[in-house]
Amino acid sequence: MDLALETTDLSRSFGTFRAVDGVGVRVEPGSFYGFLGPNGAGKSTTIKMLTGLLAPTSGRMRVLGLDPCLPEQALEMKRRIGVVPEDLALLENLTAREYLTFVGRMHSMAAGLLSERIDELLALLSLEGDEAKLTLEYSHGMKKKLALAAALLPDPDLLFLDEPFEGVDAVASRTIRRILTAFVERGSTVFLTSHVLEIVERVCDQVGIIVGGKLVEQTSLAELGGGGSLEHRFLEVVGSDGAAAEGLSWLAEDGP
Amino acid sequence: MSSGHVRAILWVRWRLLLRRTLRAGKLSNTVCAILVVLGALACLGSGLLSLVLGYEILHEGRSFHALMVWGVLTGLFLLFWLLGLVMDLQRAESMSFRHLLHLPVPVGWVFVYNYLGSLVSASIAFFLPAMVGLALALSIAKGPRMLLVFPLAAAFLLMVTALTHQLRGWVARLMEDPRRGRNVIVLLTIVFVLLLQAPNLVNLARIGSGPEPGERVEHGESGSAAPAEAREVRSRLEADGTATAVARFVPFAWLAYGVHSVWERRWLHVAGCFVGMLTIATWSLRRAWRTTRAGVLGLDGPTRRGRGAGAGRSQASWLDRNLPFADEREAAIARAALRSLIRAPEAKLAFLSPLIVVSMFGFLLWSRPDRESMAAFAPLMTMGAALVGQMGVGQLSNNTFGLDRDGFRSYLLSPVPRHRILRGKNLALAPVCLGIGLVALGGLWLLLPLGPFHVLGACLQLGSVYLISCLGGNLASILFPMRLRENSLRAHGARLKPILSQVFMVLLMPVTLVPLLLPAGADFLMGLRGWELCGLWFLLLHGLLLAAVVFLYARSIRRQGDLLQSREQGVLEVLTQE
Repeated sequence: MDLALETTDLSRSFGTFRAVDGVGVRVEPGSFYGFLGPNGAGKSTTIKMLTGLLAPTSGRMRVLGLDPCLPEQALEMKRRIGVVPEDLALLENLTAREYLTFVGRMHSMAAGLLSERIDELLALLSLEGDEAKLTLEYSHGMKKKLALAAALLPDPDLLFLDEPFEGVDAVASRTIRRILTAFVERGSTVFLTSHVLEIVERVCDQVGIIVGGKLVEQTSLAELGGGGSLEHRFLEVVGSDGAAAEGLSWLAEDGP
Repeated sequence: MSSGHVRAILWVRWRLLLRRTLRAGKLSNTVCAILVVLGALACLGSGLLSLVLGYEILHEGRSFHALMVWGVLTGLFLLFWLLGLVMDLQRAESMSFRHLLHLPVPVGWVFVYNYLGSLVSASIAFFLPAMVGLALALSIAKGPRMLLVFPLAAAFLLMVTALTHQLRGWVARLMEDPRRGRNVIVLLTIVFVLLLQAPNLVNLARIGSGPEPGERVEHGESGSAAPAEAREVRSRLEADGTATAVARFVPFAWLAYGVHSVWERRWLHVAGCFVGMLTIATWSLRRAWRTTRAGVLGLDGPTRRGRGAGAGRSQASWLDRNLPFADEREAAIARAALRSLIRAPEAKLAFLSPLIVVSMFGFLLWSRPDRESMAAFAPLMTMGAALVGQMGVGQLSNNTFGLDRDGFRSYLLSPVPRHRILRGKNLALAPVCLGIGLVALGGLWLLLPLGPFHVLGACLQLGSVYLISCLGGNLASILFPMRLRENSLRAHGARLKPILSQVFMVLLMPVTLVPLLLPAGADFLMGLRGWELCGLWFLLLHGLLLAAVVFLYARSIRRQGDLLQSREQGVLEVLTQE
């Protein structure tokens, strides 16, 4: 069976800086893959390359058995994936419903089905009261929810989510978790980055940890935890800083 | 605010300026440096020139001359100041309150800092030396009493800058609601443009219409020069009196009137002008402060409520419809892009400016009594009508993804062949481009004797111009993309190379349109020879040219799509660069 996602020696440099260095990710179909790493580790750059937003400097990628670097295969791949990119991809002068209609039509969805799904998504993500606002009037959290709705709309086989829970309220966060869990349960795949380790621990079954552009760990969550918490293992792999753990020198003194 | 705060703010501004300069590239910095040196020389020159010329003109002149000279100077200053203000309205404050409010800095000091920051402008840099030079010239020519012009000029500048600062605060408050704010920008800009153009229009209309028939007879038949001279003196005195009276009651002319009063030694009037200008300035700054405080500290009521779900549904259904002869994805792109453009204030302004040009040109043509004699050039003028439509969309068509900014990712992530994206984007501009062209053409049809064949031919010509411009625009958008600032058509952080390349593409456009002048040339020659069917030939030739252009478009758009596909990640990088 083909892997949902596979990269071999995937690298990306910006000038002399190597943001992603020989990453080899393997994601089984129907899995919930958590891609973890500290800030600036190369998570978003990897997602950008996998979704065709950024060309790799070297290496190979297969997304749903297709190569995003080949123009004809890239379009077929985009037909089958949904993406919530780091900086979102909203057209700021459209309303939420207009934007979703636009995305649906780009995927050649039938009008009736499109309208039905938009209603459902807006209601589920608590956006229906604000659907007539322009997306530029939305808060960051609302934008994230709208981007997620757009990614889910064409019912993709593989979802790429870059920090989907960032800035989202607790109620919406729980709704999103439920949606994504149901999405995976029926055989689709999710590739997610998040700094909220509790959420990753709760929903993901596979994790990969990237540090300084290199993939340092890739395993099932059960194996990675090894009985302890994901946070503990993550800090161990990433290498927590001793001085930072001690805290600030002046906080040890008496307060005001 | 302590001196430490001031130092910190100045340091931040310096670092931002330095960073921007370093990022701009060598060529851009060299050009900037040359412009700064030239600007400094111009400022110095304006001071010296007004000193010398002011002395030459005013040392033997009358007080009325001083009124006129200062009137012209303040008028010019106001003109440039207003132009700068329109641009400034689209820019953020020199130090945004949002960046400082969470820090221990008093709001009042940030207000003062921003007000002083608003004084740093090219208009003041150029006109302040001119005012100083002129005031010095007057003091040398007419004695030390004219030194009173200095406080008058200071009060005038304070009044104008305070008034506009108040306006800026009011606009900023309005713009808290982004949708309403963007409309305010459009409205204010149009009002300014129309206000500034009104005197020009009146003047041109008067020149165009020539002297009144009665006047001509009177001048021609009077024979003797003496009564005419007396009449002239009388009318000049009347005009002097009217101008002085008007200046007395118009606050923006109080500087000129104040200078006139100092010359005439009417001290009460001088004091009145001075106190009047200071009062307006104080009132304006007070209002500006209150508006800013209310806006910053959130003392006003809630902003407009969001519209209901029903409105959203009906808005979106517009995007659901197809377009004739277009793939459904092209239709979706065209409709979404058009809706985005119509909602963007910068695009609205771009669309409205050719309409203003069309109305001005129409007004001028209408006011010319000899317009019938221009009939021979009418087929040539139809090209102008087609170009004016292009003028409105030129900037948008040559940088078709510039306004999408981060939204360009939506196109990139979509499974749509890239040539269809380009076609959709081109279709989005069609209603505007062809609509404005048709309005201009309709105006020509009403004002000049154009036959039906010529009108139909010109309609076909509109199509050809539009398609050629689309091809050129697509190429420029793919090769030299630029991220546009929000609420503005100005490029954000672009290097000089893409800007110059875009300019080159704009200059190249008329050359690519030269073949479309062939029917107009043929029509002109046939008209000279007295051929009666020249209109029909005009139509046929334009039909042939349009067919050729459609063929060219259909052949090229796929290749342009491939080009976009190969460069789309680079385009994205430019468009999403903050």
